[in-house]
Amino acid sequence: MVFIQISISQKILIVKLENDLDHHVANEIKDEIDRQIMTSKTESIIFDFEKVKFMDSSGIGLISGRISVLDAQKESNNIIKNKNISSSNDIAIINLDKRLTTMMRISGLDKIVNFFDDLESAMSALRKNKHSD
Amino acid sequence: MQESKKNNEKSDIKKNKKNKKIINSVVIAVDSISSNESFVRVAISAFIASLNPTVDELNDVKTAVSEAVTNAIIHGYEDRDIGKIFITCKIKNNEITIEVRDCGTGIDDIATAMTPMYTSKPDQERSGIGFTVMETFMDKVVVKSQKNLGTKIIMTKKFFTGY
Repeated sequence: MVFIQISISQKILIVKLENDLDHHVANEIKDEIDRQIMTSKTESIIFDFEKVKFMDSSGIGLISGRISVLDAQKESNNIIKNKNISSSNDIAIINLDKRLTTMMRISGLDKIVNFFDDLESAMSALRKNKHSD
Repeated sequence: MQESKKNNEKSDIKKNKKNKKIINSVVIAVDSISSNESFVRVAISAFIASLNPTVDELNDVKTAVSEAVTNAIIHGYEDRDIGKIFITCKIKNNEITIEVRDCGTGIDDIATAMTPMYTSKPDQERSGIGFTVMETFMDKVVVKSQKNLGTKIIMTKKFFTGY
């Protein structure tokens, strides 16, 4: 079963999630995402929720887990000079519906990652991030 | 005479219809395997479909059930032992009661476990908001637990719009 589509553009990993995102699915796809982060020297991630029909709190764990992986990856590549800067700023989430927005708010994730309406605005914001570094 | 009898019958039927209680229940027992999370969600939503819930109401229930079953798998049975999870769903008029029970390790301190953002398993990428989600999407959530005997989560919700 296909759960995700992954593509990479200018060190930005774009993860398109599909269907139901629960504990079972999150466990299956996180390794695939991590493998891509490692091999492609990813600096930022965009999670696209357009095709997600259902999500429980496992989806929150999936996103916050990837922040840690991105942190670890940057540290090992010496990209981060200041350890106090988290990678959460390099994570963008697009196409959230009302229900998913509620989940993000309950978890507090809305305070640390950025939400955008579409792929283009997320891409340009993440690129701007890089240039101002 | 005949006419009035007929009328009485009619009003009796009407009265019965009005007072008729919808009472129904289902019990599902599954192994604590993560692929069963989606099965239980789908089964419960099919069972309560007769109440004509709105899409939002249905998703509220599916999310809460998913959290409870996931908890039973990763906390109750600690993600390694395969045990049984019993899910009971009762319908009484426009109210549903869902009970999710495991015979696993039990919870030491229920209040701490229910604290938003608290997780006993941070290494497993758990966000610690399972109970918060259940409380957000259901009307009432009660947790009963006994060390080494298991945990029972009882959730209720009333449907309004479709009913």
